Amino acid sequence: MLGKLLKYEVKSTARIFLPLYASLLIFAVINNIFIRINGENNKLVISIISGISIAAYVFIIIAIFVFTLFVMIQRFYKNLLGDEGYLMFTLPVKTGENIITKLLASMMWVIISVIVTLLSIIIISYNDNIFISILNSLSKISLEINNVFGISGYLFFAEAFIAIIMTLATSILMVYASIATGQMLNRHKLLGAFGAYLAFNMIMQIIVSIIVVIASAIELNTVILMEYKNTIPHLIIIGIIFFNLTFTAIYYIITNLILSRRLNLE
Amino acid sequence: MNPILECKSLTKKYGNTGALSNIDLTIQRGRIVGLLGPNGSGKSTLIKLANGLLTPTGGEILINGSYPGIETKKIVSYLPERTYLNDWMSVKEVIDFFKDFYSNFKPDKAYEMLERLAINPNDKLKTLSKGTKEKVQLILVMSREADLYLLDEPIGGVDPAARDYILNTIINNYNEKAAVVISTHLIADIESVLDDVVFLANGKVALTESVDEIREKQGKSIDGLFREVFKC
Repeated sequence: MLGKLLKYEVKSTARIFLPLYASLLIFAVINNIFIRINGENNKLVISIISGISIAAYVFIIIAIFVFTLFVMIQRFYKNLLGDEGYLMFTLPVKTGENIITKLLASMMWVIISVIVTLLSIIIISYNDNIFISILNSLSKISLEINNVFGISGYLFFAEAFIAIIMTLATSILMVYASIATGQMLNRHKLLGAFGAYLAFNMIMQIIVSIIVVIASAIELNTVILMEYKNTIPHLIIIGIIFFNLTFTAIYYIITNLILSRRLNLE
Repeated sequence: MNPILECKSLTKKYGNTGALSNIDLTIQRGRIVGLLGPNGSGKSTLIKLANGLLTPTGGEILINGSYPGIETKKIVSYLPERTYLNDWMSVKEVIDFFKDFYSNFKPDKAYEMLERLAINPNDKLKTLSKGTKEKVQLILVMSREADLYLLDEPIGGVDPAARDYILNTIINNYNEKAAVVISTHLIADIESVLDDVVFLANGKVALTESVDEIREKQGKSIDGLFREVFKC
């Protein structure tokens, strides 16, 4: 059933994102053309038009990220806790499947938005030897990593990627848990959600501070630091991953418990 | 066999205001039951509790012997009192949606009813009038071969001609195994199809009786009795 839910979730959100992505890529191509023309002859009219086109491009990027955030909240709030929730919660699916569907779709759009934006930057700056220069820089970076960290440098990047994904999941589920907490109130549900979000945020801040205080109490001398200089970054990243894993689980459980046992659709 | 719907001292409060207090009610299979009562008497609350959209404050509600959950949702077909369809799908896409999620949904039946009521399956829901949307929803709900149909105000916004067709569909579509619960205050319109009535007043069951008994004993129509019981 998760697959079917995801299919409809992607279908209903793609209507918003695909046109935005398409227009971003089109404007990237237009800008690339203008930049080339501008380089060749410097006419005022062309400069103005190319200025407008760059402004439009930047505006679309902003729109994509605003919509990513908006859709993430709105799909959960409207599709599950609004009128459409009367259908979603009477389908023979587990409540958890509904939550995971919303989470995965939101994560997917965040990641695709980042990729499309990067792609559009490559398109704008495209010239005949861009791929050679990208490959050159990549190989330089990788050489540098190898010199400093050795082979574990690549592992570090893989870990950092996982850490980013986990942080993303935690942030989204934190929003869901807040909205779910807010809907338990009979009135002022949105205000309740906002309050819950602030509270969750504060709790996490406090826990992070405690961890930092404890960590800084461990005395490290330079000898130890030099000896473990390759291991310490890994430990930090793995720490971040576990921290987020824990909170992802906590927020998922909160959301799931509330929506399964305390659902209050009015 | 378990009764299809059973409430045991069921209570629901919103904050401090009680919507249902201590309801005991049993609905058997094979019956068409009118859930009748004035506005705010708890009809919708009862139906939402049966669907798991609300959680009871006290007591319990059982569908075919189990608490509302995945298994009960498979056999309950629910028509809410509001539009629960999104606006970007076409009628055909919504039918596919129902087919995907409910194994007892019969698309052929749905298309047949759509044709009868002259609704184009390719129309987007956004472009439909409120009444047409209500008809589509009712068609979706009645195209499932469910054990329990819970219809919350099914005929409120629909014109009289469609009303007759819809009521006929309800009678013709359910079988021995199934029960239909219709909540409404438009009693006169549905009186002829009901087997039993449940009167709700201020969150309590004021009366449960079969329609025949009411007619025999009291010599009144349900509408007449309702007006008498709920006289303002």
